[in-house]
Amino acid sequence: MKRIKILITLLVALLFIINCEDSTSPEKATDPAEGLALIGEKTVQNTEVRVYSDKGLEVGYNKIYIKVTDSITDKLVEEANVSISTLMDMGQMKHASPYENPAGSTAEEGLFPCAATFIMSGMWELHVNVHNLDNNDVVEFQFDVEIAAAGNTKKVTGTDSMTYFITLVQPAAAKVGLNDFELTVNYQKNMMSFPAVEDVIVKIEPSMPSMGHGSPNNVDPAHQQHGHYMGKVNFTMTGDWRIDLNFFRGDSLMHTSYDINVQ
Amino acid sequence: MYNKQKKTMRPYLFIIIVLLHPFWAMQFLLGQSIIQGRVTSQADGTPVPLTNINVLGSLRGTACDTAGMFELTLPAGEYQLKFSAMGFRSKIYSLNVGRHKTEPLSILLEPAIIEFSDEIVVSGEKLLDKIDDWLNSTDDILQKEESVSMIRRANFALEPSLRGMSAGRIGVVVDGMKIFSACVDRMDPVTAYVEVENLQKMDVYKGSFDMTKAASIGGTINMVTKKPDFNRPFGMQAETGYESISQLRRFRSELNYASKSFAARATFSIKKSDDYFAGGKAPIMNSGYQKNNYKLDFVNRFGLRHLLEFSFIGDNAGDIGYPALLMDARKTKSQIYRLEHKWNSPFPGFQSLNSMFYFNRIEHWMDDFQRDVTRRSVMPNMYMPMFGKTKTLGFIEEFKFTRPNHLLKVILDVYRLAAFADMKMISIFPQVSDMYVLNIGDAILYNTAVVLDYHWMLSRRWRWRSNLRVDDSNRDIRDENGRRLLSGFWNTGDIKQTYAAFSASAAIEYGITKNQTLQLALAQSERLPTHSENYGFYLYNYTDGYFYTGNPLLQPERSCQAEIVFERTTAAAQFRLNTYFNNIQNYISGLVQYDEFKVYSNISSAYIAGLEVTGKVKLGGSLLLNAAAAYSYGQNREFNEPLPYIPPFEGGVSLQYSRGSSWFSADSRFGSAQKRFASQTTLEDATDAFIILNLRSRIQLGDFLQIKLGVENAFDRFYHEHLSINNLPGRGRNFYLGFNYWISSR
Repeated sequence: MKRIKILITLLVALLFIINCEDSTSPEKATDPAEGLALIGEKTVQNTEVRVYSDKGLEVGYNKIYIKVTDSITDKLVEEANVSISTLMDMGQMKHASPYENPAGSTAEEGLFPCAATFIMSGMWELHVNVHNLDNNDVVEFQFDVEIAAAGNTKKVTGTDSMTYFITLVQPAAAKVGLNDFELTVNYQKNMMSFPAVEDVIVKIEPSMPSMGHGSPNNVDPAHQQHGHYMGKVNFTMTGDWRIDLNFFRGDSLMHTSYDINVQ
Repeated sequence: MYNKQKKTMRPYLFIIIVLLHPFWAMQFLLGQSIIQGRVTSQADGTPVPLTNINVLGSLRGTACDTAGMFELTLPAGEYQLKFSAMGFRSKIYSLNVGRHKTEPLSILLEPAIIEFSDEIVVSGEKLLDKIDDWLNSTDDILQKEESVSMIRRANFALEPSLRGMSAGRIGVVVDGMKIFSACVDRMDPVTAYVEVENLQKMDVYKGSFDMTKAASIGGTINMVTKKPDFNRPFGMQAETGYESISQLRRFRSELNYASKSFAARATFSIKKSDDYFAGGKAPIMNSGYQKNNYKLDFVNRFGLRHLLEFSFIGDNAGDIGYPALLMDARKTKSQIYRLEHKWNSPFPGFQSLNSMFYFNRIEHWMDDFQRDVTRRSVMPNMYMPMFGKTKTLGFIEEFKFTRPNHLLKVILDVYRLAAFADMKMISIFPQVSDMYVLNIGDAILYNTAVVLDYHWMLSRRWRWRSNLRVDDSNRDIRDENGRRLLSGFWNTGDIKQTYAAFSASAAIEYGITKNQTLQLALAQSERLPTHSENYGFYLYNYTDGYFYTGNPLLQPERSCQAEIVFERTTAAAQFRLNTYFNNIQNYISGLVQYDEFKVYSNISSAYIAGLEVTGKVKLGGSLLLNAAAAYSYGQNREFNEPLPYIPPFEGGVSLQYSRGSSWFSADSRFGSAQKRFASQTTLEDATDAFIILNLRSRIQLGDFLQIKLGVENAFDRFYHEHLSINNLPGRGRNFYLGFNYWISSR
């Protein structure tokens, strides 16, 4: 009986402690970059610029987030002109890759969203240019990033002899059932310019090569904006899937495919 | 000349009979006793005049006088008396006639104004017209019912089809308990769990006129299991058997114990079978199996009014070859629990209250590890082990109210089903990742039904019965991935489903004369989709080579049906004719979605019509002739083609001869050719006619031993029935031999 009493007392105490911990946890203003990976930073005058990505950078579509802070007040800067660009210096030749800059000069949830589509692995330069509209500071810098190999971006030559870059954005981690399917399509105008292609008709066909069947209810990606195409892909079981993509742009045809392992 | 021949024949026949039955004559040497008794109605205690009393297995019998009294003279021995009266459920009473005077019997008959069921009594009613109580399997007994055909996929656990309908269209229950197959390929029909030694009787309710056991549009089969026998304080029985066609070895045993208020019964059986041979010694590879089954029953009486029953059935089978399918069952495991309380009310008008709780868990593993997967056309080069599981928890409460000429049963039938099935696909090529699919992503169904079953005896000649049943069902998928799969497949966020089904039936019976009755029954009923039809995912159907996916949006099937039954019963003969028409709307069928995929869909309309004829004649000299035949015609109106798996004109004739406790029978089973088959909704083909002959005998040797000896398919015909999946042939000539020994105290 005594033991039970002690046990109950301990249990009550434990509950109390747990409750206390919950209720006294400080309510700090959350960092908008929490959980992101810092890949570069620079402070010029009173403006601190930090560059983040979701995870390690790899070939394909990478979201880049720019956080701008007033280094004196430590407050987030919500108004700035932000732009990025990419460059690969291969000695005898240099080339860029597709990238995306913020649509306006106002931060979204404290950050300026950009994106870079690296078209090959290796060492790249990421160029960042920030004009802080609060104090007119300009922060311009570049840093090297190591891009890991991945199969997300395919270089395809169309029947119009143009070079296109098709990049799989989603699904990042494919699951059974319906998944969002997102692509970006860019073409190579010259070594430094990879504009988005907004007028391609995309047809997708998922299948399991080892089973010889596909799946129903897939939605062909349709253009949203800036060369992003959104559709749906339905995986009916786990295992190795292949998504065949056919692109129609005027008279030009392209084909590529992605191998996806559904867990 | 003719006379002379006849005279010389007679001693021969007599000698043969005496030789074959060395013990029957002993009956004559024993003394005779006079049995007296009275038959009264269980509902109100009034006498039941003109009740027919037959001594089963003999031509003896009598009838009650107008006061319900009867008298019967019998030699010492064990008997089964059958009491039958118009408007009452027949009752079989076991009687042990000794040399001493027997106590007067008081027989209570339960009013049952119109019975829709064919009662196949397996045990208790010895030497019954239809059934050999020691037939080798439950499947053999089911096959004896003319409206039942068996779907064959292996040499194991055939699936019953009632009037051309099976699976979700009929209800198969054990002691009223709902049990759901765990195997998505229907390898484990519920009938497999009741071994023949545990089968008391089978109530076959054709059509949806009696909906007390299940909401179905085709009918219900209730397998009533044997319970402990209070009349046998101690009894032990065992049987060993052998069947030549598949080297089947079998052992069965039974133990019964009873005291004044407590009784227990335990059975155990085990069998092992190798591959079988079809007619003409054609070997059917990969068709062996092994199985064991045990059942435990306890009954306790509390005073006169309370009875508590507990039963448990355990069934385990393994290495079951399914030559008609892509896979074999590796292991099956079933546990079935039941707890029932029966209470006889002391209040007038309120007769009884039965409450039953049940729980069962069925698990089923199958795979194709024993098959050559490189040479098959469907999903080649990969192994596909599958697992299935169902768990059912249920509660049935039955109130019975009676008044003179009225009987009302109010039944509350509640159950919860959880079903899960999945499949792994392992490629023989190591570079291909394993694949996994959820066939049933943890479906959960809650069903509640209220049934009113009302009987009314309008007059001596007219009787009325009606049923009203309301079902409410809520169902969903619990597994997150299962939900993603189905909502992705159907492009809907909500796969939860709620159904309400309403069914009603009415029947009127007219006694044309004392021996002839005419019955007209009408019903409108609904049956809910099964959990597979709602939530199954990529279920491979070997009959048409399609993968079926369930449809959460299915509508219930609705049936309008009518049946006319004419029956004529005399002391020496019985004849019955059933004709029926069943119109089904929203018929659930698989329709092609694309490539090799089908989805369950409602098609607008289909119908099944048919007739059944049964007759039996006592030819005298202990000879009994039975004949039964059935014909069904099913048509899919939307596709303008026959419905699939409709049996052709088929039936059987048997001639039985019995003396004492020994018994002989010659029975044939035939099926005409089936040229009407479905080619759009499934892929069938035509089936040829067949006829097979079986010869069976049971010979009593002394007080403790009985020999069972027979040959099935005596002419070794190679045949298959229309309901054999992938035209799997039936068994060839099969000799069987069984020894049955028992110890019993009374």
